[in-house]
Amino acid sequence: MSTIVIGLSLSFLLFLLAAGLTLIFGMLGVINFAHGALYMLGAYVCFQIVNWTGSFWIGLLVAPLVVAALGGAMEIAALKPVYERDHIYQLLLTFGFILVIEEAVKIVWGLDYKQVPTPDLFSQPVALFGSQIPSYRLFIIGFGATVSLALFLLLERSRLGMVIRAASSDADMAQSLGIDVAKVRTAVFALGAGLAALGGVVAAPLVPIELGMGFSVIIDCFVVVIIGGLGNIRGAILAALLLGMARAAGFTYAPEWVELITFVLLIATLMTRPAGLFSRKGRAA
Amino acid sequence: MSALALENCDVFYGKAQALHHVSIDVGRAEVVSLIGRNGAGKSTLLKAAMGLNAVRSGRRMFDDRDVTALKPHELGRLGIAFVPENRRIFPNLTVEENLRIATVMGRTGPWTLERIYELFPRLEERASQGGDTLSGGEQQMLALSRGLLTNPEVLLLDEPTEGLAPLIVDHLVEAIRVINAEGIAILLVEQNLKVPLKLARRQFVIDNGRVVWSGTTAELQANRARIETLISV
Repeated sequence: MSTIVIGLSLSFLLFLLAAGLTLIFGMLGVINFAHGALYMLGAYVCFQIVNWTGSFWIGLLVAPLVVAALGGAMEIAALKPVYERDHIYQLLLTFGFILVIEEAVKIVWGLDYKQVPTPDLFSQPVALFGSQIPSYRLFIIGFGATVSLALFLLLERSRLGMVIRAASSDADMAQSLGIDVAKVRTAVFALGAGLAALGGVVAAPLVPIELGMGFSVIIDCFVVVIIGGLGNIRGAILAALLLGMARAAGFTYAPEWVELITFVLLIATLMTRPAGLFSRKGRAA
Repeated sequence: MSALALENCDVFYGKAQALHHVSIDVGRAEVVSLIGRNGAGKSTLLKAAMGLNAVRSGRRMFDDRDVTALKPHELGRLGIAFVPENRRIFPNLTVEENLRIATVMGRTGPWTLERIYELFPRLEERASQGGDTLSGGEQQMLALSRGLLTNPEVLLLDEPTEGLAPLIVDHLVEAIRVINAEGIAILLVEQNLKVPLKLARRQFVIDNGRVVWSGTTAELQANRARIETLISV
């Protein structure tokens, strides 16, 4: 039972991150290397807010907004001028974001590990089907499912979602229909950055907050995005569930094989369905 | 008074010049066609009119106002609509979303979703289907309707009848007449003379990125043999 709970909570955490990454790729055509750094920044900003206010819930609300605003500013100031250039410039630029964010974090918060305590509401384990389950894990599952559902409704049912989908698939056509695609790009980058930060906030009570925390998670996140299919948000949720559950099962039954499981899934996907396990088109080639 | 005009426009793709000193104008509520063979520069010119290709020298005019510096979405909001070659339906939107997306910017006018469904009942039947599931003819109806729902003053139509069965072509020609009768100016691009002769009052012939002939439809009829050689492959 606890394996399932840990697996599901890991899956939703991965999905929050992967959703932002895949949305940004779908809309901007840019692979955002700095996604892990934004995740880390979300955790630090949350730490700071908890420090000031004593409330995790204010951190949960405010930190993603702060990082989203920063993401929007990054897109306007730095990414916008390089869309017309070769892809390599955009990759280098997002890599540059990592260095800038890490240095800034070092200056502001130093190198010490930081900690955000588990919110009181979810500090006690609960008994579920005969095992003791950390209740914060259950919160992650519930919260992650809610955010995922909200994200799907936003993309599939709202006007903004329709505009994002249209602009992602054919930017020129969307523009000639009077849609300011430049603004949509900024909004999507901000949304993606906010989701990354939300992931960081949710993870903050579980892990030590430190400079390298983005790296360990971003690899899994890239694996999810590739298995799900680049730019495919439905694929991302299924891939996140697949990988999250596989990793949780691995930790329980064969801890030394966990990393191997991740990359076997990745390689198997790339060999059989390079466009993503859940892509409608199947093989990309 | 012209609704839309390009004056002495030069357009480049990288270093290659695609249009040379091109001038073309469409009067208010007029149908004008632009005819030329494959690769002559027809689509390039339409994209330049929509702002999707930059005009390096020369001017783009809308309602006798210089709009050379405006971006595509600003031109769309002013009242230019683009119905491109290959339709470019959004495959990840439903048929109805492909129509509603044209109303997001909020230009209102006589064209509403209800009127579109009246003109093309087939689109209403398929409203909730994916945009990528339509036949060629239905896609063309959808692309045309999407343009109309922006309630434009000028409609840019790029080879609307290409690859369609004759019966559907007739249906479309009729629809274009209805649209024009409502006062919408149309710049119609075609590779052959069939549809332009039915619809347009004036004709431009383009070849190698230059306007090589222009005149009224009657003048085109008088010079038909020469025009045919200019556009034949």
